[in-house]
Amino acid sequence: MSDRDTEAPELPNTWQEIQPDEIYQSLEGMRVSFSIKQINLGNLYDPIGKHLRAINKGRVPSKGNIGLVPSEEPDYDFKSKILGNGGDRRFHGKIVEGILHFSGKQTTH
Amino acid sequence: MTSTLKNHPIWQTLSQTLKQLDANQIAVQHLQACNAQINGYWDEDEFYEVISFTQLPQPELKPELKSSSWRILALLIQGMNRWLKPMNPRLEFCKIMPSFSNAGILSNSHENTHWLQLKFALIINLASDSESSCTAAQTTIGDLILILDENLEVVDENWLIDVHSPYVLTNPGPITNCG
Repeated sequence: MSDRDTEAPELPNTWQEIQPDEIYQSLEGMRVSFSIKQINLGNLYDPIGKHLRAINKGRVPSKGNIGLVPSEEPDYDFKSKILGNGGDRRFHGKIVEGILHFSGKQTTH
Repeated sequence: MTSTLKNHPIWQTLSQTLKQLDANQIAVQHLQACNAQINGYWDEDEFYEVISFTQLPQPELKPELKSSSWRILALLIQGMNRWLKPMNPRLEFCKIMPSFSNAGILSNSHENTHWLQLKFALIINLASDSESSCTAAQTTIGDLILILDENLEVVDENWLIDVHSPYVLTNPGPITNCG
């Protein structure tokens, strides 16, 4: 058995498929979870799951990339970054016990 | 009573502050930092793995800004809201932001920090061998929006690119619209 967490399902590509507080594993191998508030924000502002794809991609250099980049918000560790259409909205997540949890914090950049 | 921002002293303060910035140089450095390449770009619902350019674009603050003496929406939001609220407690700075499309100050959710947003046109010079005119052969291929913190460090960005321009190279990625 590999070190990969076999218990965590893969992170879906649409918000409709995500269950509150369930732990998913991104393509990068990061464990992530989402509050119901975050899921509602995703359904409202990100209907095709651009942010989920950024989260799946994982940590990237902060300039010129979509993905997860450091958050400037106090108490948050990463933000999902989109470029292009919809690229002015960021969702912020905090690492809690090894899981990047998105509680429903959003900003414009 | 009608109130406007037209003669508010904040414009003069901002004008003076922004004149001290070499804004275009900040954008040039950003382009260099990412090798003038965007790794992951959404054009509406179409995803591109990589966007690059046939030649290095030249960033320029949007012309309408320069033509009006840096008439930039750059408002210290705390001060602005403090000024607005006596007139209308429900009026918030963000509600007037759409009137200004080229620059602005963003407020972080935590107070006492402010970000400056600048919008640049990305210009391709088409005829560099022409000495007779410096404005005859240029085309705009998109916008670069940079978010600067109070130390003038780029903390975020966005790009709006004409993916159909012949000067833009696109590489559609394996991730496509899921419909």
